[in-house]
Amino acid sequence: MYEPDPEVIRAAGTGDIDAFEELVRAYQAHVWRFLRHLLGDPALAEDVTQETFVRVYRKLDTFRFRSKFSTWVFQVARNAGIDALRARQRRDRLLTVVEPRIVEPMRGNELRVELEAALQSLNPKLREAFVMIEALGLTYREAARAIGVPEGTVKSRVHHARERLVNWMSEGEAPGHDT
Amino acid sequence: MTPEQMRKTLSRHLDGELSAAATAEIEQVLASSEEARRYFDQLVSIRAQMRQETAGEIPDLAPSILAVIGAPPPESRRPARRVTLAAGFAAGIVAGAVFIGFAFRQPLPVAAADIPDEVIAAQSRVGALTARIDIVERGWHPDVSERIFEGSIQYLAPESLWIEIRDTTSYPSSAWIPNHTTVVVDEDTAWSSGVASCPTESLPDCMPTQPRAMVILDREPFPDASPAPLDLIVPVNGFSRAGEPALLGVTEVDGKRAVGVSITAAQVAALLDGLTIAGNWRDIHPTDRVELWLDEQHLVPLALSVFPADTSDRALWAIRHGYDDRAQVPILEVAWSEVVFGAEPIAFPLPPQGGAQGSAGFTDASEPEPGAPVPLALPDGMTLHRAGAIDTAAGPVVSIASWSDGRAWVKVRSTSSWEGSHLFGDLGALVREVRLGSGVAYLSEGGDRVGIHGEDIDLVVLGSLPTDALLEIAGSIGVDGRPVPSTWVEAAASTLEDARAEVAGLLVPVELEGFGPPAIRAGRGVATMSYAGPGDRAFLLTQAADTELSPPLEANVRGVTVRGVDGRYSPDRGLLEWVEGELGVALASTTLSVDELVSIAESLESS
Repeated sequence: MYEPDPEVIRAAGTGDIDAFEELVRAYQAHVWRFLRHLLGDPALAEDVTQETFVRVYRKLDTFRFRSKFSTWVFQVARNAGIDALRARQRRDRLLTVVEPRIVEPMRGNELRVELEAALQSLNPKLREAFVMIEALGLTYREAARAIGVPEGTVKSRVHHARERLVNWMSEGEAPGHDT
Repeated sequence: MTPEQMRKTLSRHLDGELSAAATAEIEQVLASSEEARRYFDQLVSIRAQMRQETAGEIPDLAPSILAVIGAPPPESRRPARRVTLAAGFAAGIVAGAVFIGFAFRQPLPVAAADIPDEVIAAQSRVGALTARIDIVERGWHPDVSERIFEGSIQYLAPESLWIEIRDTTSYPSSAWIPNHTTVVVDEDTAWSSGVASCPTESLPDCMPTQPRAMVILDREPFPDASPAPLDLIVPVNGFSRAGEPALLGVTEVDGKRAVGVSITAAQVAALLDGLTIAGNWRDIHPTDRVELWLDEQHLVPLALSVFPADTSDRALWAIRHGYDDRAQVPILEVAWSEVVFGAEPIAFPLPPQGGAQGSAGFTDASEPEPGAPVPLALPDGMTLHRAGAIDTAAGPVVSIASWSDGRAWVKVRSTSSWEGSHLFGDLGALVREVRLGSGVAYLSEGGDRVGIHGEDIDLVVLGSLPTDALLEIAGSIGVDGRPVPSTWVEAAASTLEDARAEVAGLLVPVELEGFGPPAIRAGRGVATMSYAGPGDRAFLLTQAADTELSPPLEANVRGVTVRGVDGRYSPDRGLLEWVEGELGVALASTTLSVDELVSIAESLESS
């Protein structure tokens, strides 16, 4: 994952709009992909991506260079995504289960569409770990920091997500919601 | 190998996490087992699908994001500023309080409640200092349990500093590069040199063989971007707005009487950051306990030990970072010795050739710019330090003038061409509106900046002085402050009365020590109150009408009893939430422990 020059981050933190735009352009695709997979809704992912970068802008002066900038951005994106999931949960009056959503058809082959549908049926905890590793190519350590759980937990979640997805694709069974 | 073991091993194989022997073993399984082959092929197929994206699918959200934050369209922007800033100059702005003109008095017997004021008063008494420094760091890497450093600090008031640290550790092999660091701040030039950090799990292979040098030229006095680590000399930032610290006692350190206090790493973040500006160091948790011993007369640090906080959240953090910390074993020990006050430091070394170098664009002048705002009242002892202007294509022309007395300083930045949609001077989004003369001014959360939006000028007064002193200085400038335009973010600044009107039964902390008055925003049924304490210690109190908590999604949320009701705490977000009556309350902090948050919660009373 690309890491920006600290000079650019600091300049953005002092209000340099061009520097901030550079950061947005560097990460918007990654953040949107993560949120699209996490939320299962491309339009909502756009809104939450926007919210993510607004939060990043407001919090840039608190970034202390103690972690990778990309990891920090994904932490912010994850929190924004969780807030969006919560809002949706509350709105939908769902207490414990995120219902499988009708996913907007994506361009691409049938397998991708099926995979996306299966992904949305996973528990959000499994889904976010799986997306960080498989879609974004983060290391387990980076994903662990972004999610805020031990590396071993991320590995376990990714393994279980893979198992459920393979099972679903092999036999057409819903991956299920258990962790 | 059971089917479950096989799938788990194949998953690890896909991630390249198996040893050579285990890889050979699973390759044999793949060669002989169709089930294994099919499973692994599906894993590979899923990964390929997940990483295959059509470029056209990804929307360009940059224009809408920039519009939301109020950025002007690209064509109206000036060329991008590209100031090279030293990596790791992470210490925040020096904030604080001092009683200027405070007569020196012998602090005997030592009273814990007096220590913050003593530290703050001491900053105007230190003009020059040299000291030897010794550091022991533990737990940086599993293969290097302890690292030993020695070096020196040389300081000349108000902000010239040279820190030289040599790594004397015996590493397992020559692949490990010693963590030698140099930091120099000398008036308009700042530079640092050290080995760049790299991921712990990749050490030592990822270590660059050459140190990285970063140089800033044309630096303004007391800049936000590359502040001199002045808390290494007198920890003003760590004791501004501080409550009464726990007193460890009085002892002798290197032949000097020293008073000890027990505080947290967050409180002395500026001091700890100052030691680790350059180079590759381990992380310290903000709630870690710090035993700090200060010279009883000058209040400069003489010894410091950092102990891991003994909490489950901190233990989890250590696991995530790969640290095997023990509660009673300090992870960092620093000793200042051979401390000499008033000694003139030797000539500061020049920046190395070949490092990254950039200009901050400041031009020195012998006196403040003609027409630039100058305070008519300054604390006794304050004399002009540096003045001049920043006039670059990167932003508005900014006049700057600074005054100092020892380590104490104050600065006025002003511009007559401010086009931003928020207050000039980086006060932050949450501010307090205060009366100043016949006009208004705005205080930053920490009370360390006073912003004024005048009719034809915008200015900010900042420094290491107390809020009252900064307000007095700002008031003496004679600019009649006007309320900010309604479209600026600061226009939402509210009072406690506003918050009470917005949220029925609003709770406020009673007898809260160690934090300044809150910056408040109230509207749409929500009241947000931001409290800043010494160093990085801060918390946010948010309240709104609510009857139940929404379901948690974080991994580590746990139940906590708060004010006699069931609440919950998310260590990932430092968020304590509960509902009492018809009021939903959230306390959030990344630098306070859950126990401290619960204590604050218990102190809340309906206003």
